[in-house]
Amino acid sequence: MNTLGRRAFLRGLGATVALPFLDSLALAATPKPPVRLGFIYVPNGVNMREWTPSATGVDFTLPHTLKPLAAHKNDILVLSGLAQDKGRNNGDGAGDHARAAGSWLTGAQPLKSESSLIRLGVSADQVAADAFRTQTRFASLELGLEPGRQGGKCDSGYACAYSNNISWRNDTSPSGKEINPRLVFERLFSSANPKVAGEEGARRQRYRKSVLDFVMDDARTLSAKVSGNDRQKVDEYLTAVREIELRVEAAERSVKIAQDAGLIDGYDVPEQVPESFEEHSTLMMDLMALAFQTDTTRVSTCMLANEGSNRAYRNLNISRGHHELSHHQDNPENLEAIRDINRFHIQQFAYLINKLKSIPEGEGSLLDHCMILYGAALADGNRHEHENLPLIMAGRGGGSVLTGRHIRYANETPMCNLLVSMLQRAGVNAQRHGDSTGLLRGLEG
Amino acid sequence: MRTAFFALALAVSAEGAVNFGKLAEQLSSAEREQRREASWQLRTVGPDAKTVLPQLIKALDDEDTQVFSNAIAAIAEIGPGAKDAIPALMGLMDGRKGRGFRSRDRDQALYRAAFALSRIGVEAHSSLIGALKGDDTSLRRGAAKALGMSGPDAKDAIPSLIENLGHDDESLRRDAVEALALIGPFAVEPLIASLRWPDPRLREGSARALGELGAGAEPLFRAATEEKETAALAAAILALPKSGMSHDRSVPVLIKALCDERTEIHRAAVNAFVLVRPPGNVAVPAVAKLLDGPHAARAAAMLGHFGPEAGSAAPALLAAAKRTTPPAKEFLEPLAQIGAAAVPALLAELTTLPVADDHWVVLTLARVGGSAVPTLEKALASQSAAVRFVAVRVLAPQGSAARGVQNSVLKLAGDPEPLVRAAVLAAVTPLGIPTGRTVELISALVKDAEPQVRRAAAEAAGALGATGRPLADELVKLVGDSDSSVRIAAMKSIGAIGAGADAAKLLGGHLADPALRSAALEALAKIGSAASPAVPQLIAIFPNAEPHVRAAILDVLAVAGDVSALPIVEGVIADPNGSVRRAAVAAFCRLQRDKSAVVDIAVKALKDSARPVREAAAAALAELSDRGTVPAIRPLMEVIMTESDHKYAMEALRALRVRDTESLAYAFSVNNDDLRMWAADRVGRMGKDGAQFIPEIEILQTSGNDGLRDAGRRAMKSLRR
Repeated sequence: MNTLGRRAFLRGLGATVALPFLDSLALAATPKPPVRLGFIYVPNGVNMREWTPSATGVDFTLPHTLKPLAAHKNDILVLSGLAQDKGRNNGDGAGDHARAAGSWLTGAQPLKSESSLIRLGVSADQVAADAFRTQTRFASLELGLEPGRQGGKCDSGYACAYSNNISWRNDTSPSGKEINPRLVFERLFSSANPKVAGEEGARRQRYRKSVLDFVMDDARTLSAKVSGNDRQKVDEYLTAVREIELRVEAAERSVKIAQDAGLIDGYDVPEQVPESFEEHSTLMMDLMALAFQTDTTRVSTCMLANEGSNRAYRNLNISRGHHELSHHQDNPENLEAIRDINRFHIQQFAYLINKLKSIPEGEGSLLDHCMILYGAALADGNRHEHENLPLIMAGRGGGSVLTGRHIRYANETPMCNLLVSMLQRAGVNAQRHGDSTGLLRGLEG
Repeated sequence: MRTAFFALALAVSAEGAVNFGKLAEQLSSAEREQRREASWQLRTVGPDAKTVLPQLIKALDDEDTQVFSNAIAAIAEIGPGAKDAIPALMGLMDGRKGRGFRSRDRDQALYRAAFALSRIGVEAHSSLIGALKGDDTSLRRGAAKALGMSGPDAKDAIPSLIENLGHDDESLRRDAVEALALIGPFAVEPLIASLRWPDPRLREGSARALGELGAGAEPLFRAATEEKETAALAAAILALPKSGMSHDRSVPVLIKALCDERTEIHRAAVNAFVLVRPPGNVAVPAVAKLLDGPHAARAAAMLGHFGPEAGSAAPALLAAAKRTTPPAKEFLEPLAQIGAAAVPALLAELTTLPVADDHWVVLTLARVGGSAVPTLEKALASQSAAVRFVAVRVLAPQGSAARGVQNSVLKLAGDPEPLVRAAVLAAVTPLGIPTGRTVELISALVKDAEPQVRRAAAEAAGALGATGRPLADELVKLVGDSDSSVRIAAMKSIGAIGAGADAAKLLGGHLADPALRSAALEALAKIGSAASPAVPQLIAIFPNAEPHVRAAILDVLAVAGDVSALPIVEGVIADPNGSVRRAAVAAFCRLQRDKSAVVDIAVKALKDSARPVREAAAAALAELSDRGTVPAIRPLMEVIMTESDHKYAMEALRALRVRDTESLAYAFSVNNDDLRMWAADRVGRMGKDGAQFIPEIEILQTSGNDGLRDAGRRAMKSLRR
């Protein structure tokens, strides 16, 4: 059944602003907030020595890399021991990076072909997207921070599509990903009619108008209908939307200035993408949180970088490329740099968790109704290991996940068992996924 | 390969009809790609693929892992009809015969075979139950997994699985526990019986399995109160609350275990409490009572694990924390974990201003994170100035998570308490308040009667960076403020916003005042070439200044770009003070137009005993980056070969755009991986001109070092292009 009609929106010419859940509009059809699924991917494996907690259960200490999650220790599950067998060469030789990203959410072996043929499998996020398609404005939202070719060859003869995507609609079509915050913003807040949305979006930008200017009439009408608490909630929410819109604009301006001055170095920044990785990342995380908050979508993926990315993290004073460093040869200097990059990525994840926790929803927070899986499809980048993957899940999945623990599963437990378990907890009727052999026990405690 | 793919695709028609004859033929092909493709297509066909079961069984021995993997998936999808595959599948799980040499390959084969056997169902059970008594541990593990995946249908396996709970192998014991849990209620009575067996391992496993099944409350209660063996007792404690035992009875047992000195036992209690989460009104007060006893720290950690549910214990935790001065972290951290519910109690601790940023309440509130935002927003309206102040201070670092409260924070710009007004000014940038509103706010508060507010206004202007330039006039006025801290803040902010020449003159006028000199120098260093009007004053005070001031003056002279300062700079390039030498080298390299003179000085400085001087020289060379830097290459290489932490020299070397074949040949010849990688990268950029180094590149390609091999491969690719 299509439930979109029951959701609260502010509408104006060319703009549609979905609202967060409001008590005053508590709809009989939405007795409990839905569960949202997020998948955040980092490339090139991690420095496992600084990642895995030594103790299991609730009484574990966060290692250096995970320390930025200290304030959220009770909101996360550290998962060890899971493997993605289909990322291994299995007779296909080199190309671990392409296989890693390709198999992460699909549990399928990427086809290595001398031609441009690609073949993989549907990813877990898209299984969920299909299930929720009629219930939200967008089935899913695929985000990324790094541009990447979809055609051609990238890693040892594998098509670039494998390295640059984790979300796959079917065997042959990656979902693609959006790296431009402006386009994500426009997608979330424009009219459903593409023609109207396009014209009005251009007009807004030309006259430097906010999307909120177009929905103010609706906002005033709504204010008269809802309680004081909800009025404040709407006000805060619209402030947050405007603030993100301003940051998108600011990013566009600063990139233009930096590009004109030839200041952007070591990071291929396309037009309209923030110059700073951190600002880019926080904007994308905010947009993901906004999309979840308004139930615009229940499924989102984000690649913090493409698999095999050789980005230099100059903000951390690391001038060598990430991929190059990941082949650390047990050199302490390289391992330290890798650890710092891993920790920086974890800070971005901590930012998202904090954001989701700050948004009240139902009896708790938005995070309580999410399952956000963060991780890599390689453990140690030097050895290209596809077992004992570094994975963390944040959020309580609507009460179906007991967080605050480190669980160590038996070696080679299929990661797809986790994906099926997540899908089921989100209400998706999935019995199998990829090479799963059952459900992952213990998530609920 | 492409042709093969399309030819094979025809084995399944557009209508979905499968040509099994063709697929069977292809599955037996000598060509790997044909076998792969056929098995790939068969893996999702389902029961109809039984037609080609013999070929699929044969494919289980295929040397290609993908053919094997697809074949086993296809057999699993056939289900009960694939019973002829049972012996082959059992063989795959057998550690003595199984597939692959590496443990991971064998484990994968075990998982896949167990799954396929579970899909075949009851026909496989007698073989699997037999395997549970066999000699091979791997086979036992696979059998346990397969039987577990079969669920209640595998109830006949229960006695054998229970026997395996006492096995030496930990993984097998874990698989047996999981299998019994998956088989379900049929296993409960036998497991209760086995809780009394003499083997402690078996008692431990039985307790774990009962916990997984959520059954056996009374027997587990007995075990949790009477068991003597540590591991078995820990398992019973962990299982008890999951068994359905009432919280009224289980909580006292867990409290007792929490006080046990054995790590395994009190850890089990902590895990049991968290896993089951007895309703707060039962567990929280009971745990909180321990805060007055010898196990207070353990109880506090436990309450932290409960998180928001332990909100009612926040006052008791606070009281426990305040027993020491300063309050102990082991009690404050749990308060942060309790989150929003602990915020009011923490705020109530604040009575008077000022409150330092490192006050324990502030630090604890900061650790609460985003969930504190709604409560802190309410606290902005508190009667207590201390509470309002701290609420603003703690909200600011929340950044985006607290941006919804911008309006509430801005309302406090008119607060009667100056410290609150100052806190609001410090919060505007972190909270992302739009520049226009910020400028408006600062313009109003630079005239505040209280110096601390004016200082905060000056600092807030500086935090805006270049976007704060509309505030330049206001800052210039503040340089004449009656309060020295305001003057210092204003000067620093003039530097931060990058104000122009007038500001430089103004700053230069304050260089003679020792109290303001550092701030003036700091500001001048930031405004770059606009600082040149201050050069005469800088030169005037230079001779009699302290070494650290001279270093700071040199830094300003470097950015001001006024060549008239060169003689002064040259005069101190060999100064006995390292900081002065460092600044002099940097300034000389910035001001000197003659590049060969710059290279000359930098090369000498690379041999300086002080590392900062060497770093300054390397940075200067990196900035030059052109062909004239050839004489600096070898000295940089020497630094790289002699210093373990040579990152700065490596970066300089990478920045030089030179094609000096002699240096490259030298880099290839020395035993230093960093230099060889650099040389390979450089050769790769030379195109055809780099062809003379092909032999060296070929050697790199055969290196055992991945990084060198990659560098070699990249270089060769570029040379061939």
